[in-house]
Amino acid sequence: MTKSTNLHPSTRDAAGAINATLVREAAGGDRDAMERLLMRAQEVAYRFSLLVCGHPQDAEDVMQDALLQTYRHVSRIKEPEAFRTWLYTTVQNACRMKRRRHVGEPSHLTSIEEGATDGDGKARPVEVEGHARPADQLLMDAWLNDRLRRALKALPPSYRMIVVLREMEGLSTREVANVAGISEANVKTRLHRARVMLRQALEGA
Amino acid sequence: MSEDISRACGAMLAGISAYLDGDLDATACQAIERHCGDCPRCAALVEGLRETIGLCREAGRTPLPESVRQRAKASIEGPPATEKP
Repeated sequence: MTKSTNLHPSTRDAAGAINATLVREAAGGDRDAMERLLMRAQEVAYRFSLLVCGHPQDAEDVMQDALLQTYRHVSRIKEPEAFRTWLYTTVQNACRMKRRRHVGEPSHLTSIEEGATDGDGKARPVEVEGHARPADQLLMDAWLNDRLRRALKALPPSYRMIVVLREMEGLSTREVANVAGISEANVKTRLHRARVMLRQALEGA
Repeated sequence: MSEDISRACGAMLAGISAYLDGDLDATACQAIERHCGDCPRCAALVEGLRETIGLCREAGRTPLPESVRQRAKASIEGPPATEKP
């Protein structure tokens, strides 16, 4: 039996160091650094909003909001090394704002935290309303493995966020805890449960 | 999970994510691997979770659709003229 498939910490460290350098250079007025920073940020923002917030038609708008926030606030980011954490938090907030503004929004607004029950409670999936335009749906179908997308969608939103941040985006447990606003122990608990639920969903797909 | 899992299976389940994340010491890893050698159900669970994690990480490395990249790039090339970071 082979051991862990965890992302090598040096990979995360290297990405973080590049981001920190770009943040400092962009804050100092380097336009090329700003463009590179925004290009790195846009993929992160799009994936997160698409997978976690679950509104395909909004993903690009959320991405644009996050890029604008990055552009406006780059000189005020206090910890360049923590740029990714700042970005995910910004995207998460943009997702929430977008949903509040959404025309035809469900009467019951589901927060990202809702649906999670730690302790002995059972976690119940909360279905995110789908209003996908056909073009967006086709784009998603081509981009993400269909089985995985369905399995992710079946997770409670708060669990889905942990999986996306930890497994797909490669954040450390501490970074995930900072973005989600929960303890590291809670991140580990949710991650374990989410993995088991994902596995069951994939097996049943 | 069924109710008839053994105590050893229960202990195994409690540590499985830490094992897969490489957070356990060598002794704990060996205990899990020994148990999996004797318990096909737990061995299958470990392999299933490993595959699931791999599938997620592979998806995380999949680049965005080119059309989205192009639209984002176009927006980046034209930030508000009156704004300064």
